[in-house]
Amino acid sequence: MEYDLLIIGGGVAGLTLAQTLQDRLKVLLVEESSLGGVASSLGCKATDECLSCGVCHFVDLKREIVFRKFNVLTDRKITSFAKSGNKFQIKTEKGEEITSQLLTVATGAAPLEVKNLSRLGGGKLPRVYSGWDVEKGLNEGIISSFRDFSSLAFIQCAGSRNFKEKRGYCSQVCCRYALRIAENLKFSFPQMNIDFYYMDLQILGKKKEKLWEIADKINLIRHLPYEVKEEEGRLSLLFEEQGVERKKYDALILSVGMVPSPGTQQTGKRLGLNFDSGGFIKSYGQGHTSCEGVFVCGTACGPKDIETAREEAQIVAEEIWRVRRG
Amino acid sequence: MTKLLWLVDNPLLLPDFWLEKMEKEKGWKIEIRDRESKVLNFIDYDRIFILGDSLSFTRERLSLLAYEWKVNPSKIQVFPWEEVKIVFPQSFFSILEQFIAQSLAKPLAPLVAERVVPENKVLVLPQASQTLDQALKEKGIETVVAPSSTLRREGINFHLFPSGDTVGAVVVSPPEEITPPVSFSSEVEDTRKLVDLKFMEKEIEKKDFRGETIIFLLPKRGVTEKEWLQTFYLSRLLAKRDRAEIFVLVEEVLVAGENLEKEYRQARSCGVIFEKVTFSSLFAQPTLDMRGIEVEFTTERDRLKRKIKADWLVSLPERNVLPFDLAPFFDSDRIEEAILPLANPNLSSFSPGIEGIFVSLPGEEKNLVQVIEKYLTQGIVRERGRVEVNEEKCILCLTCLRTCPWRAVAIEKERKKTRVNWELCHLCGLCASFCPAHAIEIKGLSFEDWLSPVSLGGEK
Repeated sequence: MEYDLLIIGGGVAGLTLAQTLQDRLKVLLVEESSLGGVASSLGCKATDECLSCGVCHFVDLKREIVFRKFNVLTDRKITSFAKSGNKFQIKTEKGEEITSQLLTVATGAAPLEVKNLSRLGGGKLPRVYSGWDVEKGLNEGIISSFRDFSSLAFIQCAGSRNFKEKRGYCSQVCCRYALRIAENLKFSFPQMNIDFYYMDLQILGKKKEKLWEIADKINLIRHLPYEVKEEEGRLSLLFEEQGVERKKYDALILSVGMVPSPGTQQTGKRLGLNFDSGGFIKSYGQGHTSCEGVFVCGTACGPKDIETAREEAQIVAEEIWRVRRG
Repeated sequence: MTKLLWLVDNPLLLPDFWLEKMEKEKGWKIEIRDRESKVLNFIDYDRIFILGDSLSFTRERLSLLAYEWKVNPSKIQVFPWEEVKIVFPQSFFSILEQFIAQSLAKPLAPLVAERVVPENKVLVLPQASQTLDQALKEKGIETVVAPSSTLRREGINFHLFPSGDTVGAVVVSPPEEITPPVSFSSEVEDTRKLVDLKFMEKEIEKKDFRGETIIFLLPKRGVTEKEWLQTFYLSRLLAKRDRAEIFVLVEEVLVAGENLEKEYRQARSCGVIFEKVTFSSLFAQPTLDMRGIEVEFTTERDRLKRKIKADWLVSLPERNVLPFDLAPFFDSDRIEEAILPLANPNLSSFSPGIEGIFVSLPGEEKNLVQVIEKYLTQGIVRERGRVEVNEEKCILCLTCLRTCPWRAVAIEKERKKTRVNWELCHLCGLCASFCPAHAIEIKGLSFEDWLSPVSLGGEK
């Protein structure tokens, strides 16, 4: 089977790319599990007012998939890549052989697993949640299970902005999603004490003003705790504000950042692409990578939110169309 | 013989025995196709049914299908699978039979789905910034300069008075409110050492700042990613090349952007001091010899009071986008409220909710132009003849004018009659459901299809 463009990864970026180009080029999308990627498991963060988290962009995209069937292969892992002339030859585990002129890597990012954050009690102590788990549980009403907590703390930059662990980048989305979750908690339980341990507030994008308002409502502490211990059934944080202090909380939410997904690492290595210092595929502007004919878009080339991923995918689509047309 | 086409995801849902039974009893010749398979000729069928998720097949998307298949839009019907799958298979077939009979009983309205393409011209209000102008030029979109004209809708386009031009889209570039991070006295400005980032960019190429002290002042809101990057770069260069003493006074450091974190680290390792301060306690006054500015501040961390004599104070303003009042420019029957650059996630990006009007935000011009280009070249598919106003019933109460979210309803000036502009109508049905005189008819759809507050009262 021969195609103009093969998209690897069916998340927001890959689907947007397919949606933009499918009328103009022969496009095939290959996904290793099911369509949707990371965004499909996130929940809407509106209180009585929309907080512009952008998750509904994915819902819209999903409707588009049902409405107009894309050329998609799901549940396929790619077993080999080869380049002959200026064409790519790909084999999948189910034995399909695909030839394509251009490739786009849209394999995305994954949230950092909390078990890597044992210093902050991740994976060890009870009631230490990852921001990711809370986001996933929003649609199932996870907020109501926080009813009995009288105090709660957010710890930002859990795993991001850390050069020692080779994650010296800002994950861009965590401040905003944490503030939105905080607003949700405040909205449901106004008496709850919420502390926010952080480095710098990274507020950008849409509805900035609203997010600054939320930030003014909660107690901001500019320090990241050294360690988390369990004491008398509560979680005790060691941190420094005026001097070294200890403070106890009923629950913790670790705002975990994004790391390159296993698929991104594997695909990038197989294609021999350059990586940046954070392990994401290096983009040289408008989706170009170090290999000719291979493009990258979405969170495979760096953390970003749903909306930015969509906008970027559209720009990369135009660039691919320009390259293909010659 | 009535020819029907069913498009389904799973052809096994409609078994052969049922098809034969329908043909024998009702005279319906039903054809089943997979939704993916290509049907060459849709015109032959009396009705086309889609068995699928009704949320995915909105009325607007059905018009798109009708346009592609070149059929009358009222021939296409969606049978909501998500509603009936719970009764499958017991009462499924009787409901299906009823559904087909009902839709065949309704007469077909003479509708046409058409593609409307706007004029490839753009008006920018009140004026285009340099980056926007350039981005529009790159895509070959002609811009019209007419700052003092009045706009009137003409179908999908806008007609300009008095120039008589027609444009397909209007880009609103809302004004910005620029305020300094802290208020400076006139004496501070008199020293001429209070400068902006642009000045520093130019000076750094000519001048050596050896041994001087330079303070950068950045507010937390309204500083763009580019400005942060430039600040990191300049401060690093000054510290490394000229061995100048650099302080960057901030409330928050923005690093959520490409390469920002890296540049920030590099600047710090070159000896640039980033100090987080509360701007309300920051105070600036000229030195006695008027050759510099003395800045007094309290650090956030240790609450230490510090006083620094700076040779240069680089201050970046806080920028806020202000709402833009379109009312003076827009000649419409209803008063347009001011356009805010607020995002409603259910609208496409840069759209304030009025067809053909886009809002330009600083730093996002490229994405905006892409959206506009798509709109101007591909246009939209709309249905001609779907909505009709019964002029005898209409009491001119203007309820429809106020309810239409797309501003598709207009009052004809000379005849004083209500008209629904089909190019702008999104078929939401709000006007029909709110009309107290029931004067608005949406063809091919019965009044009950719109569950309106009026009809819920039981009166019709």
